[in-house]
Amino acid sequence: MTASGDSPAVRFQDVTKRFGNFTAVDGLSLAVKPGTIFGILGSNGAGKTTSIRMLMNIFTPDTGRVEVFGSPVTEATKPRIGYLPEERGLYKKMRLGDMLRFFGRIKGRNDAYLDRSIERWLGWAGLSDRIHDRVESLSKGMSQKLQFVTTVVHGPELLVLDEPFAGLDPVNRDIMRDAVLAMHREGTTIVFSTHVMEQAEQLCHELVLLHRGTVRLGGTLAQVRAAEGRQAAHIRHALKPGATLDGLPGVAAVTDHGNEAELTLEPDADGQLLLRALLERGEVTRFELREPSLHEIFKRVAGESA
Amino acid sequence: MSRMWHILKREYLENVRTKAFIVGLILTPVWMGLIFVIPLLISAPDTIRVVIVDETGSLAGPLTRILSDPEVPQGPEMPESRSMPRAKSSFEVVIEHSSGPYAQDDAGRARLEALKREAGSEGHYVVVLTQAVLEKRAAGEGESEHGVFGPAIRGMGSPGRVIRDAVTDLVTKRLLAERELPSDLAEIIQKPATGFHAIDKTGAKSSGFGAMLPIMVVMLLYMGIVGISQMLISNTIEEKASRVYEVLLSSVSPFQLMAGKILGICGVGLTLLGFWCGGGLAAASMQGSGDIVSAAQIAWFATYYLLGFLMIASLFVAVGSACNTIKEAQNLMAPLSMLLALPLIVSMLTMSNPNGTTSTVMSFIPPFTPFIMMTRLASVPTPPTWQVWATLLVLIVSTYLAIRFAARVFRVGILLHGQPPSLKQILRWMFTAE
Repeated sequence: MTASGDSPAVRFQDVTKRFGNFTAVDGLSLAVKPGTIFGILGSNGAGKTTSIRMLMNIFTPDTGRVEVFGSPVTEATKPRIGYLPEERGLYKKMRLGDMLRFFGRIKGRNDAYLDRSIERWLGWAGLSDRIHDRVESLSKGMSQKLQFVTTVVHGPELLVLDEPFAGLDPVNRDIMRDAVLAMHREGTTIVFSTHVMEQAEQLCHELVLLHRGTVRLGGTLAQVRAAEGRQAAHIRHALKPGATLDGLPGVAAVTDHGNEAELTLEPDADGQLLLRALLERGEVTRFELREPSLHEIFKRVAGESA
Repeated sequence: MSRMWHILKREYLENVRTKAFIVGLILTPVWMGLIFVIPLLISAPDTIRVVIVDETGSLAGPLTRILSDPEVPQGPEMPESRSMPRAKSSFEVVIEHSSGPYAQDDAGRARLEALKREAGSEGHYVVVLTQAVLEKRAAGEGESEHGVFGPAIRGMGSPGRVIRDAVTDLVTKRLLAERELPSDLAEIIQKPATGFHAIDKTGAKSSGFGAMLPIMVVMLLYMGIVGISQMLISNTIEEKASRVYEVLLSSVSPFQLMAGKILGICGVGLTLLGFWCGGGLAAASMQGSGDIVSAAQIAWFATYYLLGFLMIASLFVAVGSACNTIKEAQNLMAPLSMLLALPLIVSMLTMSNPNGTTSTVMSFIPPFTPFIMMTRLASVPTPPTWQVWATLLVLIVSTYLAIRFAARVFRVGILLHGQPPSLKQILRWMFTAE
């Protein structure tokens, strides 16, 4: 069974969730098209995990409605979803094969399906020969891959990943990204949360940016950037001793990474004037005028409400 | 339902396959057996030194002969003790002074005091036989002039009693002989005219095993419920620490998860109890007491186990879900543990008066109901029928409430990391519907 027609794979309608006096999510609305990769962005405490837990029916919204594949989210929806929570864990004392079969069975899959799926995914993780080993014998990197396998072993139509790349080294991050992309190519809808904007830029088709429980920006990457309505200068530089990036003409904000910097421009800024001013302060080996990065957009949004 | 079944099955198999389970299964009965046997083995030393101070000059010899006989009667036979191993003691007799007034001069009295002091500190016995013994005068144990002096070792086969009975027997026979009465008169006088026969509710002779039944049943129930529930606490905390719960919640509801865990562990307890009870019954029937428990009693035991376990395990799993470490759980559990030790103590008291007011009232207090009612059902007389059904109703209702409250705590608790909640917070979760 796959999601059909234009009905969204996931829909939040004016969803609010409070814990005591604290409003974790406030009037959240979003729609995820089937077969796309959707990002929920925001800093820590923005309401990402709460939103995802409502999507998984772990929390119930106080008001509003959460739908998956066109029907309200219930226990019956869960087998169609693969969920990788931010707080992950495995049964350390169990053997790999037994544990994966257990996770597949509670999703309602039969053993014949699971045998094939376990073989495929353990092959992907490079753990085929460890099927009878105990989970506790795996290295950290292997455990992370195995955790992902538990999420997908039942062949979900919707993959929900809460901070999937957190704590991974670059090699495993790439392996995880490739697996997500492979699932996407097979038609799986993917919703993931992150506070690392670069990852969202690389992967997402659409996104929402949450800040303190409310949506500040949303749409496709292009829409979000266009809505920002200004440009940024992405530069690589080597400033003279004592020189800084402060007080440059037409620059609204500076994010200096050391060798590189992103300069968010005023709406009417003159790029050529800025370049000349930069050359007076040192060498410039790259100068590119384009849309600001999500990182900068996010900082501006967060800064405005602070 | 099938999702809960998979949780249950995993929980059961993962716990039953551990070495700790198999060791517990086999070693617990061995350990229980040792608890009964060891005190008997160590209650009396192998050789007991007896110092006889004899003023009569005629009793020390025959007494030595009686005590030196390996077949010296060691207390009356009791039906309860028939199947129990008994420690046999042999006596090493030293005759201190065979004749003459001993306690009549200062030196003699001082010597006697020294002997008593030595006996007290070394743990042996001094038998002081004065002329008064022969007259069977003032033979009370409180009499300090004569009698048996030694350490207080209680029980049927206590050496002090054995020596005293031997002296009594000897003196009685001597007195009968002096009066030219037949010596078998002693047995006529000393033996009770009738026996006491414990009977069960069918009127049949109750075996000694039957008298032990209530205590054994309650011990089993207690181990099965409180012991196994404790397994659930540590297991809940361990899994919470491994952060596996949120992964599971993507497939099952918190209630399915909790119920699956509790029922899985309940199965572990049933396996243990089935093994132990089956073994116990097999042993009993080999001794010819196979009929000491009725089918109804077994059914009640199973009912009380299930309801009691569900109620107490729910409380334990709720506490476990709210805590991050075993230490935090222990702090929260301290008041609960003390409360749970009560039924065991009360059950023991219940045995002497199964239908007394205290027993009846305690039967209606939910956490105690399974233990007290099981004691009463295993005792004679059995409780009135209306009480059996009324307490069962109370138990069912309170078990249902315990599960509902626990589910509310569990669904919040398992996702909560960091600072442990206070008892007040947990109570608030209990009364907050989702």
